[in-house]
Amino acid sequence: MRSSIGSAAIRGLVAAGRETRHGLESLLDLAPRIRRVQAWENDHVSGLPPAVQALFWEYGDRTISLDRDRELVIDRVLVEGDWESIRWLRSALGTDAVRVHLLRTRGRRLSPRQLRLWQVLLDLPVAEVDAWIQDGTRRIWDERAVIGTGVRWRKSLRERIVVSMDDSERRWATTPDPVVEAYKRDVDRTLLRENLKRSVEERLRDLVRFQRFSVEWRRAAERAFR
Amino acid sequence: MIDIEAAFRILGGGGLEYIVVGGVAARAHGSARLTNDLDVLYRRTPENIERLAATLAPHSPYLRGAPPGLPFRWDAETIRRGLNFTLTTSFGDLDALGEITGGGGYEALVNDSTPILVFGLSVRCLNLEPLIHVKRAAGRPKDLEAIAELEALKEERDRS
Repeated sequence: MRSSIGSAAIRGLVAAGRETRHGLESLLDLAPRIRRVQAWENDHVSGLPPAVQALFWEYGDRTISLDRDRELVIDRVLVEGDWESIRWLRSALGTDAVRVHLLRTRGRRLSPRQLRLWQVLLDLPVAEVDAWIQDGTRRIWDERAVIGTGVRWRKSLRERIVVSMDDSERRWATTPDPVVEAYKRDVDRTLLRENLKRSVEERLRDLVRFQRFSVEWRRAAERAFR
Repeated sequence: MIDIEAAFRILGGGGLEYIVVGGVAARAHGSARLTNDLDVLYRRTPENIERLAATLAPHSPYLRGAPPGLPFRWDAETIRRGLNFTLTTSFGDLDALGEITGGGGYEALVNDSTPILVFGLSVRCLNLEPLIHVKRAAGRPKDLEAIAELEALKEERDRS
């Protein structure tokens, strides 16, 4: 069933090969092209690129299709997808379709943080997003989903594991956020390691010194560039 | 900009019950980011509200960003009627918060804070995990980098 476009293309290429004077040789010449068509078929005709397919690991043999499972796919990519998946979604459906979907569903499957991100990226009305987040019915779910279950999410759904946590850990448990993870890659950990070697007082004294320097620096710049 | 040492001396001298949250708390945990104000979560008991009013009154508290000359009276009644105040004072910018998003009030967080000895004073500072949690709960895009740094700090701390 998977399909027709790629398979038809392959049949066409094979037929073209047969019609040549050196049929077999031409067929061999066509092999790389056939493989490229099959790869294209895997990526496009089945509907979802591998990065997005991986988000539906729990569906087993059931094929997820963008046409049939549009809402599920949009929500899953917005909630769990990496940048590659998000780029694919925007190119497949367009930004407006994603925006309309969020407005229609009131962003009900997204966490408040995720909603704030998409509010900025898709220019959603601030008052409307505020109202969704403040909605009492979804707040109960938001809090239960993050705090109450004792489920810690690691890296991806595929690697989801449940670990036992003490009360304090459970209370402050957070789910990895793809945006934060992306920012985290660029954090200069050498600075953090140096800071961790210092006492709290030294860290705060450094802050005070740096604040004083930044004021002086700003004054100097104002004098220089006036 | 805030004179942190002066702020701690003034708040502690007034016997105020509060927890340091926000950028200064992050810095105490090892953050390398610069912050210009001090965020404190004050306890909203009648006695502590009186203390907050009395402690800050001599230091010209005024609503940050408000036009000069706006009628503003800093007293216990104003604090009772309000909750979170972003103030300028003679010792710098101070956010006096009655509640924080994702964390609640003083009572909800006091057991998740730790007294630290700094500048010869004991100051309660919010622990790293709840600090990350409340930053995330605030859902402000501008905090994304700060959250990433705090989570990296937690990883580094747990590793060492």
